[in-house]
Amino acid sequence: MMRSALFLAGGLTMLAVPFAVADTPDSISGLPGNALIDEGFDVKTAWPYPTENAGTYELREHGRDLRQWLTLSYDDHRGVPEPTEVEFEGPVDGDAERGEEIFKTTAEGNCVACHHVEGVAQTGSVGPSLADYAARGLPDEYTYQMLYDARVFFEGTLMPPFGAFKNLTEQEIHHVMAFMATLK
Amino acid sequence: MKQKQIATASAAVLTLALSGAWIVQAIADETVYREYQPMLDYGDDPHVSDDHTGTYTYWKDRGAVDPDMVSSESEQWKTNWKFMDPPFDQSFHGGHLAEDRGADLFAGLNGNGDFAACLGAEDGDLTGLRANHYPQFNEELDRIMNLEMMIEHCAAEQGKTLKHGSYDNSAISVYVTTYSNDMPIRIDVSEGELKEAYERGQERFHLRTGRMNMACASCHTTTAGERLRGQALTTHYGDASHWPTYRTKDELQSLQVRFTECNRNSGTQPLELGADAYNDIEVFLNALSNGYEVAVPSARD
Repeated sequence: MMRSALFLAGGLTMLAVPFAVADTPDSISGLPGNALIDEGFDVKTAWPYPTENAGTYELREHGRDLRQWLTLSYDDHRGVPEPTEVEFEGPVDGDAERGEEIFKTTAEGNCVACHHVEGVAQTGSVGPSLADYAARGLPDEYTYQMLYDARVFFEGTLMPPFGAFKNLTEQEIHHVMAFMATLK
Repeated sequence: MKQKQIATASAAVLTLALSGAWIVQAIADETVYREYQPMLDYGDDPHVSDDHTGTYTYWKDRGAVDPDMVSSESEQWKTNWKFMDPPFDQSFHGGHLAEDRGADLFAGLNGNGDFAACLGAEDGDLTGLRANHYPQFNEELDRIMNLEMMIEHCAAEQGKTLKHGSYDNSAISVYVTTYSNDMPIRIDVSEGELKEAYERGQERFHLRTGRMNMACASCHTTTAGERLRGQALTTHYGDASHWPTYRTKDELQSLQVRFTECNRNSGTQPLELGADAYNDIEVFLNALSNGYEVAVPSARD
């Protein structure tokens, strides 16, 4: 993969540039016609807010552009990436602070939705606690594959394939790994 | 742990093969790769008591939900939030305000009885309309219609705008639905268009979508009882009987407005209200509430 060069270039700028404005193309190939979007928004993905005592609802902007991924629409004929095995080319090249932000932010990794870590009030129990993840001594190769596409290890897993689905970038995965190395 | 999870996945794949695979095969777009949550065996004639989480006994009777269970962090999910339905919670919340406004709006639209007739009421009697007739396959309009879509349609006949998902539309829906309170939901999905919608709804409910590769079923089947960002996940049985509902974040939501929020929470691009997929999921969820009494106005966190 062409990761290394991208990291060197991207690593410096990603810290300052919020992801939401990094990639908002005007049109998405394969997006069904009944997707709820508002072209006037930076993030096109919209949702209906039922304004009190009104016969219409207000469209509001979602926290992230979701158009590129499969929807529930019957007019959506897109597929999803198959389980993808990847080779880790170390070492971990990420910023733990930025990784923590990705880990805990809903519109980004939202890892705490399913996993418990210390210091977050509302976490989840769908996935195992990661409170002492670094103390388990798991190899980076394993962690990278789990983040990139855990389906390779666990068929049918609920763990989102962050890398294979382009949900997080390579650099963002490295940031998360840098943060996870502090969990002990 | 790894071995255990693989075993679980294999069992799940087997279950899918035995019960739901034909539905997926019949509906799915076979030219592309997609993933599904393992299908439960819902059967052809679902009933609320089929609940797969074994919690039905705790919320079967809304008036008898155990207060100790309600106040227990680990047990609360077993009540399926029915303690926020009437009659258990009689406090004055936004759902009651919506009911009052719905009554006024309904009276304004129904001066000559046309509005009630358009909704399908016989002799202006709204009793049981929600519980027995919605969602429906409407022969005249040749499509699945839920109560909110019909309210929008019937208001439009009078030149009024009451969009499905808007506050005023949902307020009228709450008001009309009060005439089905204490009546069990009865939707026949054993034949015809509703059977097809029910089967399509099953397929959509288990289809994994969005940036997180999650299905509705990812939260409501195998993980019921677990927590997602502090919120306990509950069964999808008996979940269609209290809508539209007042969310305590101060928002009156119809069921399909909730679908758009479910989609967003799980990282899937929402659809327009009234999308065929949403209508089919609504039919599916109503079928899983068969035999469970309607209760509005309700509230939910």
